[in-house]
Amino acid sequence: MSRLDYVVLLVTVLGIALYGMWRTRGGTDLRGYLRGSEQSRWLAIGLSVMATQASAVTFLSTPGQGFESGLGFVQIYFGMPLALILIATVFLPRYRRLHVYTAYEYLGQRFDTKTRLLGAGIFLLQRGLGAGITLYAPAIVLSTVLGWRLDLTILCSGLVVIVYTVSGGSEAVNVTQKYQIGVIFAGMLAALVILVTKLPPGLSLPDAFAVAGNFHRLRAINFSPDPRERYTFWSGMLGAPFLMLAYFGTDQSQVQRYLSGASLRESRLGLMFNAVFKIPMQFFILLLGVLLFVFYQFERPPVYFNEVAWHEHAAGSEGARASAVEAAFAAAHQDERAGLKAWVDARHRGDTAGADKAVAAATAARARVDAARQEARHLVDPQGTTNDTDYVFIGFILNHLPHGLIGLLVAAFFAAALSAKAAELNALGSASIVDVYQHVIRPQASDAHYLMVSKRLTVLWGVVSVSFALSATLAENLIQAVNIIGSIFYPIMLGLFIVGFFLRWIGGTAVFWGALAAQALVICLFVLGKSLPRYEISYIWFNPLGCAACVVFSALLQGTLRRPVNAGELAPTA
Amino acid sequence: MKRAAVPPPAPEPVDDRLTGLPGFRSWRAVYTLVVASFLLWLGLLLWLTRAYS
Repeated sequence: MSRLDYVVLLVTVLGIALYGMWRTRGGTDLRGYLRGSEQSRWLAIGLSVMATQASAVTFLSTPGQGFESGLGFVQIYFGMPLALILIATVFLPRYRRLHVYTAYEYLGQRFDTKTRLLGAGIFLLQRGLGAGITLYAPAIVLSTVLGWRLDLTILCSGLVVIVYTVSGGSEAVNVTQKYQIGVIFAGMLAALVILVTKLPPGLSLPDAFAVAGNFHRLRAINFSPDPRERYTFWSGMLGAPFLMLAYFGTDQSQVQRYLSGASLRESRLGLMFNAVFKIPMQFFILLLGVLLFVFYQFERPPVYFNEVAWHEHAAGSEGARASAVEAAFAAAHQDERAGLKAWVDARHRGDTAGADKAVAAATAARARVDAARQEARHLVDPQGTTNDTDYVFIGFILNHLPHGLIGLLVAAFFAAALSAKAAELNALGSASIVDVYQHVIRPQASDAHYLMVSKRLTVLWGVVSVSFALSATLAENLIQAVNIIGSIFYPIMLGLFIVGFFLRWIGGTAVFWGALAAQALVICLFVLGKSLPRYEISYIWFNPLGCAACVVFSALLQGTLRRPVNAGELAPTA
Repeated sequence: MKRAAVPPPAPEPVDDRLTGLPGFRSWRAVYTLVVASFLLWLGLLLWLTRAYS
């Protein structure tokens, strides 16, 4: 990175944070701190919801996923439009009508205190466990490739996000997210345009698609009914809607974003904005990865994309083996490139026989390339715990983009990390103060007291995040672990709300114990899958299974319990 | 622990019943647009899968 890149990076990241603090200067009351000005329009809400979901990992790792596996990951978002319509019509009007600060307040009003605390507890546990990941994951990648100190990268980004989130609360998060997502979109669009211009001369976009298609990178839809396959049409249409319902409908980090809307209409339109644009956004990020794959068919990539780790091994005791792998990779890549060039030329001439012959040669060479890369991975990480595809996009940025734009892209990654982290801290602080402190520990105190405690709790969660990030060692393992933990807890949370909204004859005690039983079932399924891999199913299926179990167990328990005396009060009376 | 009564549902304010979007006056029309855009993308992804595999 040049001096220009550092200027762009610092001005962008710090400028947005300082602007957020300036816009929210002068203090606010508790309501304003937790819900913002409640004047947000639909576009601001839509961008805020989008920025909260898309962390730096989305923009760093998803192109790598497109590079490695193609477009298939987009299927996980198939459930989103339906889920967001359901949230806009069922969840959102209830939250707004009850004037809740957190989603879990609804559980308290519909059921009882213990169910509210169960919901808030699940959220705090799940988000608390993942607290450091949104900071750690981009920091490990960026510090490795840029040669920065990991601890300083985490500390600096953690400090920035804590300061502006605590200073301006929910409003500061809303204000900054608008500009952060703008920087992210500008950076990603610039990278996509430059990547297209860097494809070899004579290779048109249809040619590039044909190359990608030959290596199965454009297989976006997979109709396989195998539940062990993670991303399929069926898991996207039947399993993912539950995951999306749980995340957007019950996770406070999202609920807080759309509750800041000026009206029900603005909040609804903000959600519909995401329902329309999330799939195209993910498609283009994955397509960027696919085009990177095509680019690296004609431009020799490193054998292992985390070049720092590779050079460390190459310089060590296994240097000879690393050199052999590198030589095999270079020869295979050269053959593959020659085969693909011959294929493209034959296609342009309309020579079908020549094209078939060339593509067969390129495919054979590709198998050798993959084998060499596999060996390189095994050399660097014999346990297979890390994934070098996270370094594909950042490697391209540093080696192939002009200065200035490099700074903008790195700023985009930081902007994504900060926007997701700020929403998370804001939500953790809100749930801690509203559902635990104000409700259980100290119910009678002034707003000024709650505001002060709320800020301290946000700082506390920020310190927990930074400490966790500083003590983390294996990024990929941790990310996977946190995703799995999320999939274990989310379905039960959704089950609580589904019972609350649709099964009005079920009371708090039944749903509380039903949820705990369903949670035990999901944990058993997870442990069974890990112990006996042939019974392992994709984590996406935990969502419908866990939610259904929560509903069924609650209904069965309610049947065995005495019917709630005051059940009638739950029915609409006007 | 006592359960607090959930207030009866109030009708949506008139402002919220209108979408404010030109050409899409009702929420049903907005939801139809969302589903249509999803189907459009699904069609495009299916075409990409079939055309380049």
